[in-house]
Amino acid sequence: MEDLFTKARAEIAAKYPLIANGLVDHNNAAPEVITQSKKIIADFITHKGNDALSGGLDAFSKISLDFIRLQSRFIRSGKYRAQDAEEMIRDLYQNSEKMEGYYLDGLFLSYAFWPNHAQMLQFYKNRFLANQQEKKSCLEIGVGHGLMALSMLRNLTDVAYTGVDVSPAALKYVQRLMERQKIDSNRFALHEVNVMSARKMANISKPDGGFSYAVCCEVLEHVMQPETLLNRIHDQIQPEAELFLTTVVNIEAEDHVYLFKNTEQIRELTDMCRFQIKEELVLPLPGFPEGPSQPFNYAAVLTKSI
Amino acid sequence: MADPLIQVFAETLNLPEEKISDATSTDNTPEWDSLAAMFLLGAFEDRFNVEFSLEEITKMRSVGIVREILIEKKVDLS
Repeated sequence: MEDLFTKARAEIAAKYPLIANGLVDHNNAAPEVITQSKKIIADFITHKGNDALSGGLDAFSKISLDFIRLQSRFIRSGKYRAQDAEEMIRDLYQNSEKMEGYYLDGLFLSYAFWPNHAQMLQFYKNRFLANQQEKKSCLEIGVGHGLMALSMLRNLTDVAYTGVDVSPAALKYVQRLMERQKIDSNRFALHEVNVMSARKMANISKPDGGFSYAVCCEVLEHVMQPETLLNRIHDQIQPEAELFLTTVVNIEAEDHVYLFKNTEQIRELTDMCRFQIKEELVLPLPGFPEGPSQPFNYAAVLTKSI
Repeated sequence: MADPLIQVFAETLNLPEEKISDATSTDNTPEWDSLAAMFLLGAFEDRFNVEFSLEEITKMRSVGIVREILIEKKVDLS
């Protein structure tokens, strides 16, 4: 009997042939990635119900097609269209119709179907979470779709998780995800906070000495001052704590405002904000030619320096 | 007379013009993948001065459909 991931993939390919050849499949992904993708589909159904899968696949396809449209313009202009992070907050993150309509479902399922996202999730689990086994507290900036939190809370039974996000819809999404997955509500706390506000971040209850580690995935490119964001994280975590960070180079999306033009700019920024790179994963987007505007997904395990 | 739409497809997909017709589609043309779609959108914008909505991009599965969309947008394809 065909599994749900294979059926879902076939459904996308039939409805949206333009994006079919870029999806995770048995030819381009390791067995553990396929297993992971199947689990994400199963988690989505647990979260939203069986009947919601088709709608979720449409949401994922929408963000994939939107990427084609926006990246086409980026290739020619060399800059991201969105330039106002506050406008993004108003128009998207605080717009529950858009967030619940397609954005969160689409991004959740992107970790099942986009090869680079799938690999970054593997890297997160194998190269970061695996080393946080006995740590007691985590801060996640940008809870979003909740997959990072879910992986963490499933695999690390000792950790108390604090997640912040500027979007009430994202927090509601993750609250429900955790409930449906039967994660003990005493193990996680979710807060609606704009991390760029020092005053609001100061209201978050922080363990003595700081959080044991932090996670910040796909947020850096959504703020106008990424150094402020990294400095905030630096303030919140213990000395020598690790941070798992992901961002993008030359990849357009409706809510990307800060453009990293190459991976060196990311490294310079993390160095300036007093983080050392322990390990990196740099994934070119398949099919794009090498060159100055080449798009990449970037992930790193960083250590806080004093 | 040269068909400007066929010309755009030919140049972008790196195929001879005589191989392209309104029946050319994502199903029968392996060169027409998501990456090519990005470059096609850019080429359409340059040549015909149009932008496309997500709904229009979703429909663009064949040269014939692209032609219909451009005609609806009052693009002169002569």
